[in-house]
Amino acid sequence: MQGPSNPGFGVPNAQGVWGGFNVEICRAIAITIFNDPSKVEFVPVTTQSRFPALTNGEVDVLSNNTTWTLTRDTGVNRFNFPAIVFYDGQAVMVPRRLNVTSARQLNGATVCVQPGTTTELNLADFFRQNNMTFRPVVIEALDELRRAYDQGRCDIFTNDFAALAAQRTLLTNPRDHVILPERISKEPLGPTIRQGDEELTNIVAWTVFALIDAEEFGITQANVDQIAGSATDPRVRRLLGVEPGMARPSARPTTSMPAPSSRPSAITARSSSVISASTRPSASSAARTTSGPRAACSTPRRPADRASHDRRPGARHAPRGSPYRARDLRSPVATRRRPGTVP
Amino acid sequence: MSANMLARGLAFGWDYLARPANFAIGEGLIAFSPTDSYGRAIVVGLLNTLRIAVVGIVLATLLGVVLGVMRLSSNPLLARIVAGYVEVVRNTPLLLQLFLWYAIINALPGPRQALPVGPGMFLSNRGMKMPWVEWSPALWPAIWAFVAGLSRASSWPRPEAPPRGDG
Repeated sequence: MQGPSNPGFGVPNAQGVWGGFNVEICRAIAITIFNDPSKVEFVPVTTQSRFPALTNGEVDVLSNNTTWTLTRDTGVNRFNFPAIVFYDGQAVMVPRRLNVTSARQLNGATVCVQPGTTTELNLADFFRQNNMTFRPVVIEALDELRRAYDQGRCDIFTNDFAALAAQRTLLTNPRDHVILPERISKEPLGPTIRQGDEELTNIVAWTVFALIDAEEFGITQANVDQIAGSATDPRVRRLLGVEPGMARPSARPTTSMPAPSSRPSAITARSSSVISASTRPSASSAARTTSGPRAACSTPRRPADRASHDRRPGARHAPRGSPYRARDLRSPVATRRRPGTVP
Repeated sequence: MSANMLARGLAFGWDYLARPANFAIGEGLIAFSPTDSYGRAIVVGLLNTLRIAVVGIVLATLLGVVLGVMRLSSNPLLARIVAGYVEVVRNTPLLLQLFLWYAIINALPGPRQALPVGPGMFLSNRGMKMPWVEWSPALWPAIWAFVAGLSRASSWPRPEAPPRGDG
């Protein structure tokens, strides 16, 4: 069985440890809430199953290149998009031997596209607007889709530009394929959560903004202590908690994760300090996140904290009676417990 | 219950059927464009299912009859080969067979290097393309003639059965 792989965004390595841009966002959120980047459970989802998984509570945060659209934000299935982490655009990849230089020369093409995505919708819009017709080859699994394109089942392959570039590296002959210059749409990508969870919205938004700020100031895991000791810029001092009011220095995460290569993740040690002071996250906000094109991470909650907030009758005697826990019992994913946590 | 569902962001209702689907469908017996409704998309899917079912039934009947006759033949080699094939394929899960055929189809060459397998028929990893009947209004007189001929033929007097012999 092939596994999910969205190189660069969410892909498990040989030991099964997830890595990638979306994965690191999940870990940053986990650090904000639990001060432990390993308290994340990754759940693979597909493009069709990601929204039902999020709505049903199977996962808490969807971090797999989901586009912020009007219908997703305000439609019948409401979600919140706390922050944009990657602003991409949709592009088209064609084999060089077709001698195509522009996406407007693709009338009658057979297109490989994933179902249930804004990619599919934008493709239809683009072809309609340019009075061209196309024939879709719709395959849900990105690996299978790429293989179908590689073997010639379809003429062109369309996806977000960054994902397309990543998939191009996995083709048998990357140099035989070219990504056309047109950007068919704008795709603001970011973590997605259920609507109604204000706490989690704040947590996710300010985790991301703290990471962005830290990158602007050049703060990384390696030099954060040294900068905290010697910073003169008031913004840096407030960000790192040297000047009180916005942030509080917190202890380093206890578990050590494999050193991430992307810069935003390098600040994870300090992101919790910013958030904990300004938003005071309560452990009752569930924090399971999904990341990668088919990866979802879910963080186990701390039952002890929730029991103290739960004012329903009988809750003190039965900490398992909280509304979140009731939903857990339906989903096999949620009942997975990490070793060492209280069940 | 619907109020609770609405609060969770799950709305039930049939009005989505009239909205434009905004996606295209690869193959269909009737025309479908992204501006057509979800209802029409469901109809296209239904027709596709029926088409596959009819073609499947016809081909399976033909293949079944041929293989059955071969297995009952007096030629021991033929009978045993077919018996072996039947015993292997019988009870193999359909999904497994689908995987096998999907892998075989994926191994076929691309459309520009398609294999010619007959007059006007080409086999590639996008499927088998063959010349087929194209509908046109000029076919209506032919259909009427066929139906008229059938009804006339059914009213021809039958030859009388020979009298039961006593003697």
